Amino acid sequence: MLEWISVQKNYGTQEALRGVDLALGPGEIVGLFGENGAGKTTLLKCALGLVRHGGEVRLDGERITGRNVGRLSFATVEHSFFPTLSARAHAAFYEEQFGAFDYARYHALVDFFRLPEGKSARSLSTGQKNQLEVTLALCQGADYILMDEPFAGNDVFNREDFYKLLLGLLTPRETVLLATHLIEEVQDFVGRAVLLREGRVIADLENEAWEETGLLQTVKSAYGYRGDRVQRALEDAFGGEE
Amino acid sequence: MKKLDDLVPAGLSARREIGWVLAAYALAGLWSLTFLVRYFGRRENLFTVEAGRRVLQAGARMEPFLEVLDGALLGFAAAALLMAGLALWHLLYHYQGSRSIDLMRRLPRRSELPVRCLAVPVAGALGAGALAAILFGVYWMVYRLCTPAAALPGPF
Repeated sequence: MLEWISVQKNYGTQEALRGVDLALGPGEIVGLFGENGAGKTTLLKCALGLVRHGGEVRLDGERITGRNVGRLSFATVEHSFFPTLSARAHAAFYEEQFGAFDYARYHALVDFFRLPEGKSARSLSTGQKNQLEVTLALCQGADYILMDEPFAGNDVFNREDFYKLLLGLLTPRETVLLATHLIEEVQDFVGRAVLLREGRVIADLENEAWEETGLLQTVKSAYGYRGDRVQRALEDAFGGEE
Repeated sequence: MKKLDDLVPAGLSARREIGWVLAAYALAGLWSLTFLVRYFGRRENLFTVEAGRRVLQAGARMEPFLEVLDGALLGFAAAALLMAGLALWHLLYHYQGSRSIDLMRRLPRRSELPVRCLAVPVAGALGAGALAAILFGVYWMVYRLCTPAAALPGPF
């Protein structure tokens, strides 16, 4: 189990996370949703030890150190690959560093995405860069796969097919935490939705909660989203003219 | 066993970097030859020609070794400073075109990032220091052995 316990993070005077408590069990596929600046990326980075923070993150009850950090993988929209290395060279690097690289899955994903294995990462298209990033995270051999907007810039067909493929690829022990704004697209993929707002978890829902209304509507409700805000803004802009 | 390329950031060539370091040593070594030019010029000034014979001038004194050495070994200090720049560039490399720093910082071997950023620069700086020390010794020997005993000042 991966647990965030009272995790807090400030950037200067800005509070990014305000005492977040969250636990992910083995085999869960969890969507992490929230407006820009809600703290999604920071929450993921706290687990990976990429930012200093208050509170604790524990993996099966233990602090995350060099001994167990390999059980977490990360795919980020900012990309964490080496621009001058090819996909093949990245696979070798991951194998050497993490020791449990899943080559069978790697070849399946490279074929699926039609990624050119020998080209340097920097020469790939934006969509292919995202695909390489996700491929590496999925093949690292981690139990907990953290993804931060992994498909920003990919076409919708590619994304939908990928979600289907992923559901077939994941083993029961693998957990995915997917931070994204593409709520409608992932509603059939995730089994649980965590909503962040201004650094706090404001809702933690199982998929039964959005079966009838859909995940997007559920998220809007939890956020207290006002459907008339556009009309009100236009009325304000034009001084309430008819 | 570690490969040579495991000692530089992934995607960079250790051989190429070692080539740069050796080139820096070569330039520093060439610059150090200014000691020999200066020394033999000063040494020549110790002598005069009398009746067609080259003889040591009476009371002639060689300048102290460190004055003759002057900045001849400064090239190695510059090389060592360049190594600090190389270390910084290795770190910044992980922010160029992506955030590979995030991958490096979550590797199980926590020493991987510092090793890859510092191995060549530290070895390069130590090498520069060692070469400077060796050349210091060689030039001191040249100074002591080639200067007429009567014109030698104190040890330095």
